[in-house]
Order: sequence, then C-alpha cells, then structure tokens
Amino acid sequence: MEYPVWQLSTFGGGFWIVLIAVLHVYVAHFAVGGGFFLVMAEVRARKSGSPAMLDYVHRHARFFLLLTMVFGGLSGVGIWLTISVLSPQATLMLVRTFAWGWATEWAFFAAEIGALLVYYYGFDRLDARTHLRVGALYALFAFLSLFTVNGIIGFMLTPGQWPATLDFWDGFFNPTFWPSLALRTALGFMLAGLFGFATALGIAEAAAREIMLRMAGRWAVAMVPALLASGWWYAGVLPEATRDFVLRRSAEIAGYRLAYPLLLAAIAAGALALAARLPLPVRRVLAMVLLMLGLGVVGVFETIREAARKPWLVYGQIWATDIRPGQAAPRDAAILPRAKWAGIKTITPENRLAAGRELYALQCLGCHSVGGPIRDIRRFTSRIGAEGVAAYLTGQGKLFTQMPPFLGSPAERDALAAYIAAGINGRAATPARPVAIEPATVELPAFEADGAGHLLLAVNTLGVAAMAGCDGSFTLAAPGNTLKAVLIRRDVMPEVVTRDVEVRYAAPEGFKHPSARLEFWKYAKSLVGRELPPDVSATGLGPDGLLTPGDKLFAAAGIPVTPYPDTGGVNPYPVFTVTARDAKTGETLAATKAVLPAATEMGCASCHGGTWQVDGATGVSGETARGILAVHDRRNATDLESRARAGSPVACQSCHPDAGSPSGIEARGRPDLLHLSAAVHGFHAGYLAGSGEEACSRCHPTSPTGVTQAQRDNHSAAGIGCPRCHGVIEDHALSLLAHEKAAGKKAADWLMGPLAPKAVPAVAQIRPRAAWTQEPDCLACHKDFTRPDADATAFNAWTRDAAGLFRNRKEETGNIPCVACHGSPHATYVAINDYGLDINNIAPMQYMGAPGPLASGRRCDVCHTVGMEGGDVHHPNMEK
Amino acid sequence: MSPAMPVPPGSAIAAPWGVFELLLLVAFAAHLLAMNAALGGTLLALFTPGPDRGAAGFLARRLPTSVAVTVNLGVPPLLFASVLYGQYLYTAAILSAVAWLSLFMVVMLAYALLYVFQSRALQAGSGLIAAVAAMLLLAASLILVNVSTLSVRPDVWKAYFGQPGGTILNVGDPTFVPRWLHFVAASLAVGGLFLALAGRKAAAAGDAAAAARLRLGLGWFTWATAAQMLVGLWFLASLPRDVMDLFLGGDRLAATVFFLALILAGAALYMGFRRAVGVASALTAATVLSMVVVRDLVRRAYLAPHFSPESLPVAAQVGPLLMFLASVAFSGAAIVWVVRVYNTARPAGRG
Repeated sequence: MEYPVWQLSTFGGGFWIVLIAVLHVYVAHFAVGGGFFLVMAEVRARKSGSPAMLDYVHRHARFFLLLTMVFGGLSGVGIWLTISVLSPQATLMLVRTFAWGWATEWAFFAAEIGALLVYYYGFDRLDARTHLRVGALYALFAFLSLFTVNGIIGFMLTPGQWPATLDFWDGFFNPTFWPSLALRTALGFMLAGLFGFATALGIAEAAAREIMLRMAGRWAVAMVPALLASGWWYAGVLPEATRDFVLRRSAEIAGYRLAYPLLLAAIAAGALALAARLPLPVRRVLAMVLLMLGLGVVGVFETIREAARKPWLVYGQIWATDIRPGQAAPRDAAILPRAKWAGIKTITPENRLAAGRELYALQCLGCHSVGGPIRDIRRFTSRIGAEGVAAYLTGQGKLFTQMPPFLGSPAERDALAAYIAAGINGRAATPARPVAIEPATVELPAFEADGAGHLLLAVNTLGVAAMAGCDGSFTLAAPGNTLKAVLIRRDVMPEVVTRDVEVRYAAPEGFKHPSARLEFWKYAKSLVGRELPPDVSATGLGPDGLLTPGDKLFAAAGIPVTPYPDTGGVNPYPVFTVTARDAKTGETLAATKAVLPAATEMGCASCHGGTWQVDGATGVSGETARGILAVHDRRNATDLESRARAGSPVACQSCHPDAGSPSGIEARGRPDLLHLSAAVHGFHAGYLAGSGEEACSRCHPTSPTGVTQAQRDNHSAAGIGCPRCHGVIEDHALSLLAHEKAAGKKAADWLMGPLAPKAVPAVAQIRPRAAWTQEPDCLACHKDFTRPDADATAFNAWTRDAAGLFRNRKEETGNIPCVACHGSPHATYVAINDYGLDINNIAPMQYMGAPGPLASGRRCDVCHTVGMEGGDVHHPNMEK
Repeated sequence: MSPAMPVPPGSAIAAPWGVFELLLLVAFAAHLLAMNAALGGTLLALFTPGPDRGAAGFLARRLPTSVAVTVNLGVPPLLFASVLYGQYLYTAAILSAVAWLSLFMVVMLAYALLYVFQSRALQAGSGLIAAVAAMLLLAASLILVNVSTLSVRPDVWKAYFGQPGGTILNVGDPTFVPRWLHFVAASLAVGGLFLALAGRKAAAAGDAAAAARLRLGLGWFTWATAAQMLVGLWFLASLPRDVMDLFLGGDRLAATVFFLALILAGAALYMGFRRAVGVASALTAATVLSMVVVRDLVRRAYLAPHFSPESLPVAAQVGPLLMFLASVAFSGAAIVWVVRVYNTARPAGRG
C-alpha cells in the first residue's frame, strides 16, 4: 500500500526470492559446514603426512573459496535486493528492528572473508599450526554469522514475546532459535560432506581418495539423524495452530512433509553407497545426484518453513502481501483510495477490469504468478467465473488461514473477481438469462359444490424435495417427497374420515419411471446400503401407491419423484392424482390433484466448476460433483473422489448425521461430526457472507429466474425474502452451529469463528436450533394469527420441536392440518411463479375456482356445505 | 507523527539517527575507496599499455580480493541507508527493479571473471576477460547511480503509473551523467593510487618494475584527479539551484564541508605531482570522506521538503549496540591478526 508494486506476471508469485534464496541457503550453509570440514580434513592430511591429501585440501579450499565467496556472498546480497523490492515494508521492519543484529553479522562476515582469503592464499606460506588456526577462525566466524542470521529468520516465524516487549533479545532469541540453529548447523555439515564427495572424487591417488570419501560420507550420514531430530524439535516448539497446520492440516505441503525424511534417507543410502568401491564414473554420477538431493532438502525445508509462516511475513505483524493488519482496518472498506500507488482510486464500469488488475497486483501477485511456475493463479481459478472467484475472495483467510483475508469493498472484490475471470482466464462474463418457462395447464378434477359428499385435500409437506442430481458422485438427499391427505365428509358439521377408505396416489404420465433419468437407483447399494428395485424409494414406495391412514389423515413419505419426465426436458412440478375410494365398494368418494415438486437446481458449479447437467438449467454435473469431492478430500483427509470414481459414491449422511430430515433416509452418520445442515451452511456461510436472499438461491432452487422457482408463496409475492424468517446466511449458519456447539461438537467452534451475526449484536444472542425440527415459528410474526407488522421477522423465534412446525400442526379442532387449507410451506396460497396460477393453487382452484386459502372469502361451504357464522373455531382471527 | 500515537512495531530505529548517519558515512567512504580500487584497478589493467603489462599482472592478482572487500564493505552502507532512508531507497529500487536486481548478478559475474583473469592476465586474449569484467562493473556503477538519483527525486516517481514493470531509469536527470563520470574518474584516480601504493615499498628498495608501476599509477591518479575537478564542477552545476546554493554559501555547514573537500582534493593532487604517494593516499581518503558528507548533505537537501531522518521514531536499546561494537572489535582483531600472519610469513616458492 505504501510502496509501488513491481508488476510481474510469469515471474510473479515470489519466483525471484524462491530461486535466489534457496540457492543462497544451499551455498551459505555449505560455507559454514564446509569450513569445519576443511580444517578437519587438513588436520587429517597433516597427521597422516599424505601430500595427496594435503593437495586435495588445497584444491578443495580453492573450490570452496570460489563457490562461497563469488556465489554465496553475492547471492546473500541478492536476497536483500530481492526482498527490498518484493516486500519493502517487511524488509524495513527487519532492518530497523535488527539493525545491530545485521551489523553484527556483517562484522562476522568480514572476518570470515579475511580468514578465508588468508587461509587460501597463505596455504603454502603459513606454517601448519598458524594455517590451521586461520582455518579455525574462518569456521568460527562462519558459524557466528549463521548464528546471527538465524535469530532474525526465526523471528519471522515465531516473534515470541517481541510484539509485546519490543525488546531486541526477545525477538532474537525467539522460540525457534535453538532448534533452527541446530537444524541449519546440521544441514551445513551434511552439505559439507556432499560437496566433499564431489571434490574428493578428483583425487588421483586411490588411498587418499578413499579416506576423504569415507570422511565426507561420515559427515553426510551422521547428519541425517541430526536433521530428523532437529526437524522434530523445530516442529515441536511451534505455536499449536502452526504446528497443526504444518504436520496435519495443510494439504498444500503434504508432499513436502513426506519429502523431507525421504530425501534424507536417500542421502544416507547414497552416501553409504559412495563409500563402496564402485567404478569412478558411477561414483561421480552418484555424487552429483547427492548434491541435487542436498539442494532438494534445502528447498523442502525452506518451503515448509515458509508455508508454516503463511499468511505472514512476520507472524502476526505483516502479511505476505506486505500489508499490516493495522493499515488495512477496516477490512471491508475500499482499499484503492488508501493505496498510495494505485493508479485507480474509484471503480467505474469503464475501469473495472483495470481496477481489478491494480487489486491483483496489490494483494495477489506477491504469491501468485500469472502463467508462471509459482502458484499460477490460473491453475486455481480457471474452472470458475467471476461469481465463484468473488465468493472465494469473501471467504478467503477465514477458515483456512494460509492466505490473508481479502481487503476491500464489495465493489472492489467484484472488480478483482471480474479481472481474474475475464482478464486472466479469458472467461467472458455470461449474462444470466432467465429460463424460459411455459405456464403449466392443470386439468382440475370436477367438484360439485352442491352435491359432492366428500372433499379430499392432498398436499406435499415440503414445498420442494431438493436433490443434487449427481448420485454417481454423492447424494445429499434421496428422491422422496411426502404427501399428506385428509378426506372430509361434507356436512354442516363435517367429519374427517379415515376408516374403510383407501386413498391412492398416482404419478402422471412421464413420471412413472424416475430411474430412467436419475442415477440414484444405479448406485443405491452404495448410497443407502441396500439394493433398491428401480423406481422404488428407500421407504419402499413407488410412483403410484397407497397412502397410509394415520391420526385423522393419510400420509405417504418418500414417494420417488424427480424433475425429469421420461420424454426429456425439466418439469419440477409433476401433478399427481390422489383418489379416495370406499374400501368395500370401490366407489370413488373424492379425487383431487397435488404437485409433488422435485428439484435438482443446486448452483454448485459457480464456485466448484463445471456447468449445469441438464438443459443448461438444473442438475449438478459429474465434473462439478468431483470438484466438490476434491475439495472435501483435500480439507478433511477423506477419499470421496476416488470412491466415486470407483463406482461407490456415498451419501453425505453416511458421515454427517441428518436427523429430522423429512424426506431423507434414516441418517445417523457419525455422531461426533456436525449435522449435515450445520456443516454445509456453516462452511459456506463465510464464502457468501454479506449477501441477502441471493445467497440462498445459489444452492436452493429458489432463484426467481431459474427453472424451479420453488419460493413461490404469498410471502414472496409480498416482497418478504428468505432472510426475514430464516436469517441471512451468517445468522442461519450460526443458529445451527450454536446447537452443534452446545452438543459438544468440536468443529462448530472453528466454523463459528469467522461469522459475524447480522440480526443480533452478538453470537451469544443467537438461539440454537436443531435442523429440520426447529424452524421459524409462523406465530412469531402472525401473533395470534393476525397480519404482522411490516418489519416483522421470525428469525431467532424457533418452534420448540417438530410438533410446532407448520407442516405438522393442525388447527384447533385437531382435525385439519394447516397445510391442507393454506398450502405447502414456501407455496402457501396464493402461490405464484412462472408456472402459473393453476398449478400452484390446485386445491383452491378446484374447490373455489379462485386462489387463496381454502374457505377464504367466507367460503365455509366448501366443507360445511353452508355458510358459517361467528367464532374462531379453527384458529383465532380466521375471519379476517 | 503525533507522539501520543503508538508507533507500529518495527518502525522505530534502534538508536538516535545521528549514530546511524555517522556509521553510514564512514562505511560508505570505506566502500567507495575499495570500489574505486576494484573498478579502477580493472580499468587500469585493461588499459595498461604494452610493455607495462606487468602492471596488469600485478593488479590482476589483487582484483578478486578487492571486489570481495568492496562487496563486503557495501553491506553496512546499504544497511544504514535502509534504516534511515529506506522508504526512498526501496521505492526507487522497486521502480527500477530490473536494474536493481541485476546488480548482484552483474557483480557476481564480474567477480567470477576477475578470478579467471587473475590466473590468465598475461596470456593472449585476457584483455577480453578484463573488458567484460570492466563493463559489468561499470554497469553496476550505473545501476547504483540510477537508484541513488531516483531515490531523491520523488517528483519523478509518478512515471510508475505508465511503467510499472520495474524498468524506470533516471538517465534524464541532469545530475545522472556528471555523477556517474565523477565515480568513474574517482575510480581511475584511486585505482592509480592503489597501484602506486602497492608498489611503494618495493620501488623505494630499488625494484625497477615496482618503480614503473608507481609512476604509472601516479600518472593515472594525477590526470584522473585533474579531470575530476572539471567533472565535479559539472556535477555541482547540474544540481537544482536551491541545492547548489547551499554549498556556495547558502548553508554554513554545507559550504564549509564542501570547501574543505575541495582543499583536501587539491592538496592530494599536489602531493600526487610531488610523488608523495603515502600522503596523497591519506589526503585522498580524507577527500573521499568529506565528499561522502557532501553527498549526504545533497541527499538531505533534496529530501528536505518531504522527509528528514530526525523524524524517525527512536526505540534505543544499548545492549545490541554493544554487541555490535564488540563484534567489530573481535572481528577487527581477527582480521588484523590473519593479515599480519600472512604478511610476516615467508613466501615458499609460489606467492
């Protein structure tokens, strides 16, 4: 923010510091260990009186001088030059805080150079004892310069007490100082051995050569356990969150974690092999390989150390973007006006992509190259469009902390997302087109208001049975809608009839073979644990069947229905026929129709990649589903994607309990894991934070321009959106997670951490609720069944249990379910969407010829055959 | 900055600014002298005419070490300049990042080539190696002059908005060329002095080759210093009017130091004509030190409207400073000892 950004693309992402620093560390650590090696080799050579050995030491010293002085010394300066242009603020922080430390290191380095020059140039001039003393001085000063640099580097990862005390010594002798020093010293000695191999192979005299090779070998092999032990020590002193990330949680460095011990083992094996008298050319190749493995160890160690420190350059003080948290607050305020070197300060439609480019340079380029070897941003984002990138930016750094949070206003976030999608990945923004829908016609069964003896009310209880439609990869919900029917014998005092009556339901043509276009049945064994005959649901019901008599009504749970008619296309609202017959005579007493809505309109693709599966409007495709599973596997150490590829997909409920779901299979899952609803909402809330109703339709089939339009009730028509009852997604997730937290589930805390409540001032004021069984209570707004205030909200006013749910309640005489007169949840009369009035209000249209709750407009005669006077018999204020 | 506001951790400097300023000036002067010897020595080795190739061989053996010393002595000035003027230095570094980052690669290559030259100075074709090394070192000097001038010209920085790829060069600055020539001339002068000084004892003892080298070195020194006077005047005149005026009487300290430096330079030149190599060397070192102070005053004058190091918050801690001083003493003693044992050892055949 305070400094200009060097605009790179291919070589962005920190390429220069990775290259220069890894090579420098390789040579510089060798410069330390190699100094000790030179002196010990000289002692050995002089003691044994071998001119060949002494000559070797002299030649090795020249090689050592050239490599460490020319490359090692200059590349050290190179690191400084690089970090000053890539992270100037962090560099100045280290320079100012540790000025005397750097100056001390310089003094030691000066003595190091002086001693090395005299050691080399004076090889034949100085007497043996003085020469060895000079060599020992070199080794001492080399170690001291490592000692000093080590303190400053360790500080970056573990500043220890320094942020509180600002004391130099607290920063210098920080928690990782000693393990890091041990590791780096051991590394230096090992590299000394590896380089010793390479140069000792040039000794012509066999005896001297074998002695030096064995010496180099001892050094290399002995340091392998030291490097393993010091690495373990190093990990042990890390703060718990960092250690957990390094050792367990990070999927990104899993390979490096494994590579460290493997490379060391390979080096030990190779070093031992080199001691064997293999032909010289073979040994030379082996020595080169060992040198490469040594470089690999350096690279792996430094990568793990850097990853452990992410998202910080100096832990807790300055991010990898060279921005301090203090500079950035508040995080959702526009950042471009505050960035001194941003060419654009305010975003307009014309400069949007250019503004995105500025934001990319400011906040992404430091770690992500564009088309280069270091964390190429295209690799991470090319599968999704601007909407998905924007969601990722919203959730960045909240749950997975290896990246810093995005800083900027929502407009800036969207500009950056647009730049990444269009500017970098070349994905043109596709304007959302509403799905073209033909209003449906329903042939309403006849109803003689004067003569009909019975009245049959049938309604589904869910509003819509939402599935993902990717059963070959996983299943979120098995196909199954629930039908409730009540048969009323019409009279002045009507009666609910359940005995000696048979109520049947029948799917319409084209919906009798749901297995034709939904893969659920193909994978039923894997998904629900047993084979299911085609078109038969997990509860044993088929597309046609009988409703089971119960407490004053008939019900069928788990009727298999999909939005895919046999003939092709999409129809989320199949109209079932429900018929009541006299059980003895077979005479039809009453007939009606009811929609059993089903949907697969889950928009996972916008963030997880891929496209819609069916007709460009619905269904989670296999590609999207695999993307979802890949993320789940990476973050939770599962193997869902490989299981799906092997033909054994799982139901989410096999791990995540889903108790209370009305259409789902018996779902016990693993009791220690979060309830499925809490997990899904809780995880995604961070990525959709700050949105309103549009967040809901990303996953639920409620988009007003989608193919389902499931949120079609009178509330919706009045402009009341999902959040008024259910809360915005942060609040919605918090209510579920609070319940899980109270139940002692550990993951709840982690997911709750980044979520800020919107409807209430603090998380403690969010009332916990159990998914599916505690929902917004209608009576919270409709106090005493009256019309509510304009700003009434039912959030935080949950039903006590499932009995209080709208779909389960009955009116006060205990005869008629609320849904029978008022319609399904989310489709209460008058319901309307692009499918028209008839299909959404079948019962009122059949029985009254007009939409609205049954008997509204004083049509009590629908059931009572005559008008009625006075009293709130069914519920208070019903006459209003 | 309001004293009541807490300073973000890591912004305060670890001692009063004057301590860093003093160390910066002394260290930078030492670096310049070593750099002049390295660059000048390389140029001299390249241009040494026919029969005096011995001078080239003599220099060649010492050039790698002189580069090593130069690089090492470049570290403290970079450190202390970062402490005091880091925001300006690093901003300029970023704007010219491609050149800035090339600096260490250029010097590394030159250093490596000088090691090759060291063993082959008197062979045919060695001139090419010296020439490439010289060009690389000159490139390094250009890079540093670029960042030095750019860092004090915040008014030029807005070029970033059209050129954000790290390719901004400040060659259009009127002080760029005279400043660079000032360093090249100084390198030739000090290179000559280095050559002369290194052969002084042997020449006095009657070594003809050493005497020739002394004459050659002094010749370079005197002619380059004379040219330096003219270049210096050009440099002064190219400064912005208000900055130049400071040294012509506008500011007492600036004018005093400047005239002192001129006097020292004149005295050094005179001593050069008089072939008093040792005195000329001492006066030259003093001249460089005074000119480094002048250079610093120029920098602060350029930056005065925007910034002064006095404004930096200070969080001094004595312990670390003592550690530094102790390390200097310890390292210094070690260096003195190793050099002494080297010089007093009897050469055994090779040398």
